[in-house]
Amino acid sequence: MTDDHAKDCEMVLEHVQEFLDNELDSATEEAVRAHIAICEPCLDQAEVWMAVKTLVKRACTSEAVPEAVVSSVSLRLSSLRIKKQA
Amino acid sequence: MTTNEQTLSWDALPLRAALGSALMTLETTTPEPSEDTVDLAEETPDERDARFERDAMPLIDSLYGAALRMTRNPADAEDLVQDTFARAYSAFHQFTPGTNLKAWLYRILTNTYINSYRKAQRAPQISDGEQIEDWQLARAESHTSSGLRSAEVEALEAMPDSIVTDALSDLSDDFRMAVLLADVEGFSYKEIAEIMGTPIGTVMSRLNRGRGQLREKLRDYATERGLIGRRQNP
Repeated sequence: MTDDHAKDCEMVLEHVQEFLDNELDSATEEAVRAHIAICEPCLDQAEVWMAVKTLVKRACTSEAVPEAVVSSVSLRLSSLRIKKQA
Repeated sequence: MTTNEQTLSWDALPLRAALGSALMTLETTTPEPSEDTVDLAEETPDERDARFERDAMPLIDSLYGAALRMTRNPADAEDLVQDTFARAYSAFHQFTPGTNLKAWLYRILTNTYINSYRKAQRAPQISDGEQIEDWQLARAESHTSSGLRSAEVEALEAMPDSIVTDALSDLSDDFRMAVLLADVEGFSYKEIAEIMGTPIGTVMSRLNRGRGQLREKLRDYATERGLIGRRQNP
């Protein structure tokens, strides 16, 4: 493994989350993409962080709002509306 | 060169400096449902109420989910959502139609939470861990030959939701909120910065550290159960 390669690994590990969040400028994004295409350890890391992101979304999107909460919010808004009109 | 249309430049969303106002207006690149022009000067109170009902109320699901994950108990989440919608309704004339209503509501939710609930927070509820049995042991074990990190990915994919939400609960409020806003709600760093009232650098550091701690907790959980970290494959 060359020094350059090791530097690239460092760069990728530093930016991998921004990469997965689509927050990198296109030049850096391209550099990260090119590196993980040839570096398995970095690809593995990217996959783990992607899995963490996916997992958070999966685990947190199941809660539907209970009807009672919708009713209580509507009630609160109605009383504000009446107060405003008065 | 591959370009990604999803990529948002940090400068792409000019910050409207609503000076000192907690109800800062957020710019957006994604069109809102009611992008048709609203003449705020001409709008009657009834019309504004109807617009609030039509545009804001459908977002109650995702706001309730966020409130539940912030407060970690349903009673506080209900109060928080009520207060958020009451404040949003009262301040709705300050919202600029065509900008990001969801982000605007999240900002109110976050502020309300920080100002009222965080101080009086009850102790987090302890899960009874009943879903630990959900572990898909067989599946995880049958794939361990692909190496430590792939095993970590597979362990993550098999992780029960309750373990993930418990691990999220253990994070500090700031870390947890940053992770949820990014990964559950899909807000950009710029939007999260506006919602949380912090510089983008702080958002990045909270995300990196929050996800890092989460990864560690989940890896510990999987290692304790022998799902990863024991590499002596047959």
